[in-house]
Amino acid sequence: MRRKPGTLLPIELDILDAALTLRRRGEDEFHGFGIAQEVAASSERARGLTSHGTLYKALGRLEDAGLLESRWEDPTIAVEERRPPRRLYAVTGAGERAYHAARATTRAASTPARPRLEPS
Amino acid sequence: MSRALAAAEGLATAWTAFYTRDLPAEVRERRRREIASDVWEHEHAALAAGEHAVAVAVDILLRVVRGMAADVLWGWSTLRGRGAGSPLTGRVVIMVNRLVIAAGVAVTAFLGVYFLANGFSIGFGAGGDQGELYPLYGIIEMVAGLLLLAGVGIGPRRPRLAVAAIAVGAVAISVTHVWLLVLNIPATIAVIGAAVWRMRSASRQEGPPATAAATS
Repeated sequence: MRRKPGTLLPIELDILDAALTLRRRGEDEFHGFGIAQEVAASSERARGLTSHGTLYKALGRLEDAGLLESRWEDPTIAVEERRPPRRLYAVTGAGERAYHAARATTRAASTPARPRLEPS
Repeated sequence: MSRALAAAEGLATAWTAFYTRDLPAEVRERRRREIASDVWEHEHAALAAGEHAVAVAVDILLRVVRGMAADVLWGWSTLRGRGAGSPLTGRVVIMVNRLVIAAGVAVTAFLGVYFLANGFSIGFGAGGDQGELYPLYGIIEMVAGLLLLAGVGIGPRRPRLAVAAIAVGAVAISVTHVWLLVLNIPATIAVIGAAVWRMRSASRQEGPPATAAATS
């Protein structure tokens, strides 16, 4: 099924939401497991950590759409910390705008219509 | 590292190697390294938070299993050159997952009823006079059947407990049917793990997509 251009799936919205929350805390970049933790902690929909398949597919879609950018971290840091290297993601300006536009649309759609006043 | 964690890590690595095997080298290496990093971070964060190694291993295993449909669809679309922005959207994943849920629940419930009935039959019915171990076998099968049914019943509310109940049920069945040991434990855990977690997250994936005017 073809996806309508310019739409964000709930998981994509959750990722952008979590990434922007991390940015407000001073963390401009995040890695896959880090964002899974943040989504689990902050999303009303999420119940537990997002599966690997769903998470990395969504990150890939967001990057392809230009809403995220990514890079491998400096390998010497990973060696020093004795762990595998992290792929670091950051929200782009387009990603931030898309997130706010999507949120505004969601809010507008969920605002109940004002009851019509009947003439007395 | 505990055996459970090593097994979960090995399964995650093996599964990633499997579904990325035909992909272009750059894409393949990126996904494999990202999953290796994710699993490592998951293990260390959870252990540092005081979680038991077996619980962490189950969580990692469930994250692998729950994402299998998305992994396979992503692999197919990447092979066709569409990348992660494939038109195969979450709806296809939901459909595949629903089939997995239906199959897993149906098979487990059927096996539960079968072993409950068969256990009663050989323990207290026709097979009861064929040897002194038959009543014991019957009781074991009945308990196994009850555990499988209990796992199906509590799955949506208590996924970890459900997987544990089904795993114990599968081990119990293997006492009377040893040849099933190599099949029933991994298969039952994988199918039911996928099923119960997809049930829990179905509402999340079915939520209406939000329009992002800035991206169009």
